[in-house]
Amino acid sequence: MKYTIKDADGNVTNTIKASAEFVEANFEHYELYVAPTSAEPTAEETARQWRDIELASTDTAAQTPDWPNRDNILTYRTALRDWPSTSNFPATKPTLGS
Amino acid sequence: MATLSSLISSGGGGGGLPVNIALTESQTWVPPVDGNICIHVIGAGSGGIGSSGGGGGGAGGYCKKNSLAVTTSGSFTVVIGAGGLGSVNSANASNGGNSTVAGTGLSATLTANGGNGPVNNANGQGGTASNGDVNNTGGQGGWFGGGAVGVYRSNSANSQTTQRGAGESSDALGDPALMGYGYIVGGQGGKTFIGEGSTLVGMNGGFLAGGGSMWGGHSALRTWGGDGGVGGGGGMGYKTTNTSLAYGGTGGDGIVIIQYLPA
Repeated sequence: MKYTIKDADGNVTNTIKASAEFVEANFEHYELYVAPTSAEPTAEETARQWRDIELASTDTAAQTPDWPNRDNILTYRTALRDWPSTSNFPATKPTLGS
Repeated sequence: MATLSSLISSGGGGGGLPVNIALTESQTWVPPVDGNICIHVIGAGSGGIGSSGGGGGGAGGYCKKNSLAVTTSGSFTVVIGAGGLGSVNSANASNGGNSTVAGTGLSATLTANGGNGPVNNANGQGGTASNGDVNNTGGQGGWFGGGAVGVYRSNSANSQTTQRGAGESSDALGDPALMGYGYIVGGQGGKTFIGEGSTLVGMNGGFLAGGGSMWGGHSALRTWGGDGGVGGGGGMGYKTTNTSLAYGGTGGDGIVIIQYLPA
């Protein structure tokens, strides 16, 4: 276990690995150290990340006039850009027409 | 079956290497047999930063008592520092804890302070040491990884001064021939990686070495710096945007290693 060691004023002086018995025997002011948990990405963050990857992966197609299905790709990219401001965000992803 | 006493008296069971007694948690340590010991005290590494700037965590200090006569009636209070946590979203990372040894025959407490966490996007500085025959400051962290414990000289592994991708920046490697009575040798630092993707996790450092930094590109969702090995600083988790999902690596815990010396 990990413990935070403090001085009489409550200031942290050390963080150590120790048993409860050792800490109790050697220090006057201490508390069990509990590490904060990491935040999971939100649905919005994950959705924006997916959107950015989709836009990046269709960049070449958008800039190449004779790319197959280019018109639908351009429409898809517009939908991707608008998506975060719609009520479909983040639950329903835009789809690429064929 | 060999006893600890016989192993110590025979120099490690025939291999010519000392018996290393590794203490990884705070305790009251009583020598199992009479003899002369070398004490290596290593502070904990600090966490690395999670940010679009900043650096890796600093390594713990290194304090060595070359030789001390001990008996089974003596005792030592050993405190082991805990590794500091990496930060997220450009916050300051946690310092590593201090490791100390005090007890019979020691006139002053052997102290190896923990590495300092990166503050305000600066690199983490290595912890200092005092009251030993050798007192080396830990390696400073850098953009490319956490610092390594200075078992050979102060601030021996400053990753800031080496090139990106050179995992050697966070190494604590040494000549294996040095490993033996009165000496310890560390491992390789975590390599630095640059990547794209969902979750990118940096490479952890070896014994006494720093964790590698993880550089995420524009499509990286989350990046984690590699964790430091024992005493090593945590690597940096880098993201260009949305740094709330950039996490610094955790610093390695401290340790005390006791070696019985030949009679």
